[in-house]
Amino acid sequence: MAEPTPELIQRAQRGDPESLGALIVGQQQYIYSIAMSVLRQPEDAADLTQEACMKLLRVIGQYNGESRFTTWLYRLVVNLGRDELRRRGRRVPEMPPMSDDDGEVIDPLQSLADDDRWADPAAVATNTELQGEIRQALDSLEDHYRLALTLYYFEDLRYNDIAEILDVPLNTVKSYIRRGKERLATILASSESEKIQPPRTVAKSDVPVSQPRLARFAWALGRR
Amino acid sequence: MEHCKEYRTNLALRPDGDTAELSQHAATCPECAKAAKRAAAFDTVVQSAVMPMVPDDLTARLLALVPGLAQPMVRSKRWLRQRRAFFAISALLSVIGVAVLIYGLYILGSYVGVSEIWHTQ
Repeated sequence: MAEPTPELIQRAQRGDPESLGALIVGQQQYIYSIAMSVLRQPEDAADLTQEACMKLLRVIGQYNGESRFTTWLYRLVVNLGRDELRRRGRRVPEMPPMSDDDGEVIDPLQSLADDDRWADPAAVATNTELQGEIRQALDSLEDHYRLALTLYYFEDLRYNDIAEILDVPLNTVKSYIRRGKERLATILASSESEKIQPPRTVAKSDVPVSQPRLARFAWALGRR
Repeated sequence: MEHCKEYRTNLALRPDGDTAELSQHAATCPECAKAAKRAAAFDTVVQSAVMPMVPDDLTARLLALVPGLAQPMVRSKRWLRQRRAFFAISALLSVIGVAVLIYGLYILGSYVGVSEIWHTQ
């Protein structure tokens, strides 16, 4: 359960060190996950987590209970992440408006239907190869989909909370999640089909005389 | 067929969209049951990927930010082994020291004569 108890929040707001410590330890995994989703580098994400906790210590007194504590905190982390991207001159993730009625998504995972590895929920948990593929696919996923999916997989965040954190309408959140899964499945399916294609063999006549050694590995370098 | 479409559309947003009628549908439709398993497998793997392990030293870094909080001492196994060895050697040396002291007093007593010491007082 990510949401801390009201008693813990109140004690932390009064400055009780033990409660502040418990709050931070309880939230660090979630803050770090959001930071990873935004910045994508472990060191940067750790620095952002630290910055977020420093800000939390400064502004926790301003939390007034209007929204859930986790919603308030994760929104703070997302905004800090966006500020950090701006500071580095990097593109801040856009949150394009999107309705759940935009197009028809029946089964977002349809593209994985022929891949038997997804047939058993118990087996995938220990499939490290698949987990590596997912991490790579997440890296190439559009920022708004990755961030929405990250929040979606936090245990007890509701769609309303995610909408409030990302500052987008509820329908947009649902659409991000459906389409994010669909995109992720498509990326995974395409990387799998690329993997099973045999490497292109290079005919002797293709090898330029001036670059014999490089040309031997032309198929690996993707050169023609 | 209409149920298939509704069921699979709802799979992506499971917590909101599962109704009793749709659950019943999965029990009678092998294709939808397969899609449900695929969705569960997908959720398991993606969830673990979007929630990576926190770096080892991060907790200590974060707790160091809290004013007035006693820092938990993080000791390595090597440090604990060295500490145990130190206490064992200290105990052994103490025992030897006490034994030498007693033996020294005994030698001194027999040299001077313990009764003589008492008589002089």
